[in-house]
Amino acid sequence: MNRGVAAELEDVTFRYGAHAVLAGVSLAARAGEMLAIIGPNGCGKSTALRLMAGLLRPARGEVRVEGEPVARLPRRQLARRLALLAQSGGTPAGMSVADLVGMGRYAHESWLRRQTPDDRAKVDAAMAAMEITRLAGRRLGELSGGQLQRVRMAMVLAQDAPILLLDEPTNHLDLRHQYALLDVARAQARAGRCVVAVLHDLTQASLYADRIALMHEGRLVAEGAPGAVLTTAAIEQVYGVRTRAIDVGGTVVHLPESALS
Amino acid sequence: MSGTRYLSAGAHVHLPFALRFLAILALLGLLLAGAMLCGLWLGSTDLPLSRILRWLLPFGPADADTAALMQLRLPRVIVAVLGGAMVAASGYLLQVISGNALADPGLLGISQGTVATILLGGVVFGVPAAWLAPAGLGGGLAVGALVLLLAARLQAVNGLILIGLAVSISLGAVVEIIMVSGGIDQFVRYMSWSHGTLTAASMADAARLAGWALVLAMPLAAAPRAMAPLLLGSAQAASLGAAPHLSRPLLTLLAAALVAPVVAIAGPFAFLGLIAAHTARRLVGDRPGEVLPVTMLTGALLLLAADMAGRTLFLPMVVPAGLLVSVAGVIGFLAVARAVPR
Amino acid sequence: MSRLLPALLVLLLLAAGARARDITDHEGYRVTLPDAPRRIVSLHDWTLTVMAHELNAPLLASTGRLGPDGVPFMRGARELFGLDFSQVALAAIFGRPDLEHIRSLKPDLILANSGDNTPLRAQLATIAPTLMFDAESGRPPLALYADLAGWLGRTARFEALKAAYERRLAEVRARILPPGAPAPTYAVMLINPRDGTVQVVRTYGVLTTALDDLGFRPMPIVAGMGRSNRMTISPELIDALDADILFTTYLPPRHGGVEEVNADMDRIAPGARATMKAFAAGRVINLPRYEVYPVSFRGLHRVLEAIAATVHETGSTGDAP
Repeated sequence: MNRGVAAELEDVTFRYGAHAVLAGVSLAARAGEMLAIIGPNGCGKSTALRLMAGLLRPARGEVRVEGEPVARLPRRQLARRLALLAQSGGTPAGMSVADLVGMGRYAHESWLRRQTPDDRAKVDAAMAAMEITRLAGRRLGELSGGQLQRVRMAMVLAQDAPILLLDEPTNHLDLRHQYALLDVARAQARAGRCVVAVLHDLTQASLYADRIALMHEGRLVAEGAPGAVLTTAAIEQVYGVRTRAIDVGGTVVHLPESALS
Repeated sequence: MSGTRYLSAGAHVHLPFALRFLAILALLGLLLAGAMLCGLWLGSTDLPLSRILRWLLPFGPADADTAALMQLRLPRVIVAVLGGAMVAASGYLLQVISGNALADPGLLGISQGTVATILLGGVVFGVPAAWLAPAGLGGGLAVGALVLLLAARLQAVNGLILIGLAVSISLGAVVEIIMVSGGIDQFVRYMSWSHGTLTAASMADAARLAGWALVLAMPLAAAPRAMAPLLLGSAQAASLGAAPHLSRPLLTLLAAALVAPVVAIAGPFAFLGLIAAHTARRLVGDRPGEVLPVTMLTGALLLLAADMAGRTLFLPMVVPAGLLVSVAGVIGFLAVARAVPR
Repeated sequence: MSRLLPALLVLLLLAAGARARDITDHEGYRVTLPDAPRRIVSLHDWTLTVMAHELNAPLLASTGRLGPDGVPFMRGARELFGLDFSQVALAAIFGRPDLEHIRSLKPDLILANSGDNTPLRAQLATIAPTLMFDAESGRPPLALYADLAGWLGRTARFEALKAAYERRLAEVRARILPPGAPAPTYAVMLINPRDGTVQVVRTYGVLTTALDDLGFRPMPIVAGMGRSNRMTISPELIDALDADILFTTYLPPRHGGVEEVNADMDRIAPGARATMKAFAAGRVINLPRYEVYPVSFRGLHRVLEAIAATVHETGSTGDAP
C-alpha cells in the first residue's frame, strides 16, 4: 500500500507579510492513500493545501508534485497531475451543470479540440459517480448548495488527475451527501490516487483517512494513523477541548466532555 | 445537452456548438442587417429605399445625391455597429475579469483616462485637433494599465473595482477643474462631447475603427477560452489549468484596446457593456464563447438603434446616442442590480 | 462616390457663375470656395453669424439655441441686430446638429468655428466648402474679423465699417481726453454674487478692444495675470480694481444699470464702494454681455457711446478732485 510520494511539502514556510502562516512544515502524501489535514481555524491547513496546489509560493522550502518542483510546472501540466476542489469559487448562474463538470477537462482541451468523445466519457463518469447525471441540463443558479458542491466535486473528478486536493469538501452538504462524497474520495484513493482533504470533522477524519496530519499555529503537531494522532491529550492541546475517546466498532471517535456530562 | 452538435475535422479539430446559440446568432445577425439598412434609410432627408438599394448593390451607378447623403449616414452606421460591438465586448470582458456583474469600461478608468487626455491635450497643452484622438487612445490605455498595476499590488478580490473607481473619480475631478477654469464655453463644449455622439463620425473614423476591430479580432476570438475558467474564481481557474495571473491582465488590456478608440472617436458610452452583456446572458446562458458574440451583436444593435432614434425622433435637435443609451442603461442597471443577489 | 463630390461642387460653382478661389482657413485647411458665396450657413451664432450679418453677406442659415420657451434664437445676433429665424433659416440647434438638414439647405459655403465644430469638419466638408474660424487664437478681434471679411469677399464693407468706427473713436477720444491729460485706468470685472467671487478679465470681446483703442490703461493686476485671460480674486483684494473707470456686464433677465452693480458689490464686499474712486465718481458702466462680447462694429459703437455718455455726465477723466 505504501507507494511513491505523490505530493509533498519540504520544510515549507509561508508568510503573509511578516506573519508566518506556515513555519517549517514537511508533509508528504502518497499515491493510494487518503490523507486528512485537520486543525483548528487559522492553523494553516488550507494554506498547506494551496501550497501543494501551486497556488501559493513558499517563502522557504520546496513543494513537489510527483517528484518535480511545483514552481517549474506550467499550470496546464500541473492540472493534469493535480486537481483541486477550492473552498469557494464563482458559480456562474447561467452555466449548465454539464458545462461546469466539463470545465474539469480544461487542461486536456485546446482551442480547436474540445469535448472529444474521451472528454465526454470522463465527464459522464464523474457525473455518475457524484449522482448528478439527472441534473446535467440544469443551470447552476437553480441548484441547492449541496447539489452545487457535488457538481463541483464532479468537475474535479472529471479532471482525471492522479492527485486530488479537497478543501473542506463536505461544506454545504447534508449528512447523506457528506458521507457519499467521502465514500467517493476514499474510493479514489483505493483506486490508486492520492487524496488530500482538509477536514473539520474529527469523526469523519477518523473514519475515512488512512493518515491524519494535525496542525496547530502553522506547525505540524502530529502525523500518522488516526488512532495514533487523535489522542485526548493532543486534541486538548490543539483545540483546547477535553474529549472522551469512545470505541465504535473498532474506530475511536472523540466526543467533548462538556457535551457528555 | 440537447441541441449540442460537434464539428469534427481530423484528429485535431473537435468543436462543440449549440443549435440554440446558432439560432440566436442568426436572428441577431438578421436584425442587425435590417437595422443597418434602416440606418441608411432613415434621416431628416426623405429618400426612397429603392435608391439606397441601388446605391448599395453593384448594378448600375447610383445617383450623386444619394451617394452624397450616404457620406453622412454610412459612417454613422459603421461606427455605431463597430463601436457598439467593441464597447459591449469590453464591458463583458471586464465583468468576467473582475467577477463583478456590474462592471463597465468606466470602471477601469479607461473611459475617463481617454476623456481626460483629450481634454488636457486640447485645452491645456494646445495639441492640434488631429492628434487628440491618438493621444486619447494612449491616455486610456495608460490609465487602464496603471489601474491594473495598482490592483495587482493590492491583491484583493475587489481591488480592481476600487482602484478603477478611485482613479475614475479623481480623473473626473481633474476634468471638471480644467473645464471650470477654462470658462463656461469649454465646459459646454465638453458636456456635448462627453455624452457620446456619432454626429462627427466620418469615413476616415469608420476606417480607423475598422482597422482596430480587425487587429483585435484574433485576440477576441481567443478570449472566451481564457475567460471561462475565470468565472470559477482564481484558485479554481488555476487548478483547472488556466493561468489567471496572465490571462487577467491580458484580457484587461484587450478590454482597454477595445474601448479606447471608440471613446476617442465618439466619446464615452456608459452602460452599453452592462446592458448588452446581461441581455446576452439571458439569451444564451454563461458560456463565454457564446455570450461574447451575442453581447457584441446586442451592443451593435443597441448603439445603432439609439443613434437612429436620436437623429430622427427629436428634430431639429439630434440627441446624442450616448445619452439615450444611458437612459436605457439606468433602467437596465436598476433591473440588474435588483436581480443580482447580495 | 468620392469622385462625384468635386464634380458636384464644380457644377454648383458654374451655376453660381463665380470664379473659384483658394483660401487657407484658421486650421490650415486649403479650401476652394466661390468668389462670392451666395448660400452661406453659419454654425456659430455670436461670432460667425454676427459678423457675416454685419458684413451684409448672403447668410442663408445659422445655428441657434433653444430659449427657455423652446424657441430657438441666435445669441448676440438677436441682441445686436434683432436677427431672428424669420430672416434666416435655422441650420441646427447649437451642439446638437443634424448634418442632413444642413445639407438639405444646399449651402455653397459653411462657416464653422474651431473648438465646437472641429470634430465635425470632415463631415461638413462632404456637404460644402467649410471654413474653420478660430476665435480663440489670441489674435486681435478685428484682425480675425478682417480674415472673415476677406474669405467672404466683403473686404470693402469691412473697411467702410472700420473707418466709421475709427472716426467715432477719434471724436470720443477728443471729447473725453483733453490733449496732454494722463490716460485713465480701467478694469473689467465680472461679479458672481452666487459664490461671492470676482473675476478680473484681461480681454473681453470688443469691450477691451474699444478701451485699448481709446488709449485707456488696464490696472497693474492684469499685467500680473501671466497668459491667462481671467483670474478669480477674493473680494478682499478688490482694491486692486480701483481704476478710474470700472466695467462689468450683465446677462438677461437682468436689465443693467449701476444699481445692480451696487447691489452685487454690497453683497460680496460691503463697504468697498465707499473707497473705490470709480464708484465715487459715478464711472461704473454696466453693459449687456451679448452686445459687447461678440465681435462687431455695432458692439464697438455701443461701448464708445456708453463711455462718452458716462464721462460726459461726470466730467472729464483723470485725477478728479
